[in-house]
Amino acid sequence: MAWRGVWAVAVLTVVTLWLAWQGMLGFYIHPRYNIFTIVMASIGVVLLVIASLTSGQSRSHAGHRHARGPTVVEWLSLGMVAALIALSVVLPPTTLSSYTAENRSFGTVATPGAVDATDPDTATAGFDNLTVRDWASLLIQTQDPAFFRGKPFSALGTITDSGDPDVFFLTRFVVTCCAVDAQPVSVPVYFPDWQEEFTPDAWVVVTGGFQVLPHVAEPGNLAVVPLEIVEGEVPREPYLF
Amino acid sequence: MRRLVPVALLLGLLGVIALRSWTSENVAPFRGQLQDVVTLALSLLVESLPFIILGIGLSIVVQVFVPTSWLESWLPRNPFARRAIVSLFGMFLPVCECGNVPLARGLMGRGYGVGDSITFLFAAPIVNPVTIITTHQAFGFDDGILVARLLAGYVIANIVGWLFSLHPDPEKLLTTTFVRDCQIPVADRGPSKLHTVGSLFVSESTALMPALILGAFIAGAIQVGVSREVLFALGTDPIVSVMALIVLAFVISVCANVDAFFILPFAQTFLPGSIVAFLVFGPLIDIKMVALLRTTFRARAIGVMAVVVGLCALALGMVMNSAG
Repeated sequence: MAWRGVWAVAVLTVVTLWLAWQGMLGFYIHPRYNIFTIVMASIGVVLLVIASLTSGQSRSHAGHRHARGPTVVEWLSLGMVAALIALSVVLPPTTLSSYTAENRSFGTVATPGAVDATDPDTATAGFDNLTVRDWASLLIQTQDPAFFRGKPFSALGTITDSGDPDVFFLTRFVVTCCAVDAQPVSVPVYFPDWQEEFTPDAWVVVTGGFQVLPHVAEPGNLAVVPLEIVEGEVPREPYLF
Repeated sequence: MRRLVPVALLLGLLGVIALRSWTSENVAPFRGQLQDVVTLALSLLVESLPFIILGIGLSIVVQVFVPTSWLESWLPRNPFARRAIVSLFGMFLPVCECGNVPLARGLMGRGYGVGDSITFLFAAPIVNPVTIITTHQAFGFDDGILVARLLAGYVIANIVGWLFSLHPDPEKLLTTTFVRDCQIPVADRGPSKLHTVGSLFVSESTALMPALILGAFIAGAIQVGVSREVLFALGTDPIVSVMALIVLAFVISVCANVDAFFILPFAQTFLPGSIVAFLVFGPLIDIKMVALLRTTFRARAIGVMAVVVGLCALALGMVMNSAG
């Protein structure tokens, strides 16, 4: 049982390298850590091999010193590893849900986007490739309907409940290190009785434009009025960085 | 091998229970929350694992390949000067806080005092170059946040290290398992250095991994369970907001290298003193760190550390908020 920690390292190392192989590390950590994570996991494999090759003599040399029973913490963590493996086998990696998006939507006031509303060039800039984060940033910078008039909106995100039956939030998470620090950014989308057609957490691409809606409270009274909403594929990097 | 059979059976049973529970209609309303707990825990584990391996690797290097005489020879004998130097080790070891735990264990295994090692452990996450750069990127020199964080981290680490160095019997601050491990001479761990490396890797990973896994799941569950709305409702009070962000730092367990980016969006809601309290307290004491510290220190010692660090962070935040 002195090897329980080694087994835990082995399982997590295999999971990490498998996620890297599948290109799914982005579901958990920022891509700038990918190489570091893969290199360190590989070093972990080397240490695992050294430990297994030298185990017999090391144990006989060290005698009975490690021969103690597992603690409650160790049993609990073993159980969690088992549950984690079981759930990982049947469930594909997924992003944080709309529940966490709603929980974390409090307190955030500004997330820098790619476009500065005060820049005179912005009026003529291309808006085709803006993400939900960029649009959310623009909505925080200005609520002037004239700024948004005529600008085409097209973005991918998940559906989050806004509390209004006629408005849902198109949401993405912004990550600086890993999913633990993920912060939601959202754009309101006007679609009467949206819950009859869509479910929270669904990935969709919304195409349309901004209009003033008097009854929309957050983050102002501007919302996207969609021309089209189509089912979207989960991107390989589901978080924005 | 015989002892592995019941373990394997238990693991299999837990796996089946987890699967059965997941597919049950009874948990359908909570599936999003449960999925988020798993995602957050796995995220913490994937993010921490490289640092843990790096920390264990450095710990092994210190214990196996660096002579004790070299480690001791160039450090001052005066304990205050010694801790002042030890607390700067982090400048050369850009490892996040969870990776510092195995390294601090390695230093103690190599004969460093408990106070010295705690000073290193608490200073390193804040004075390391990655943390300094990211804090500067997030805040620049606005409101003195970067300077306050660096100075406070350095001073608090030295205060805690000094307090623990006053203990008449420092071994009583440590778990019996760790004390027993330290008493094994490195040469006794195997017939060659390679065997010693293997043996140390087994003992260190066995000490740290269960705590890391448990800490990651608790942190994930609390993050999903605790409403941010309640915490942020307290944001504008100069005293309560400091306490709210200290609690947030404890709960989220985010890495010190990037916590400045995490807290940046809240800088307009919270006062600068509260932000600094978050940036000082979080790298030293959070759920994940408490679980990792428990592998080495007794619960009472960790409680004292948390209280001292918490009071220092609270005082700093309140003074900055009052002065601002």
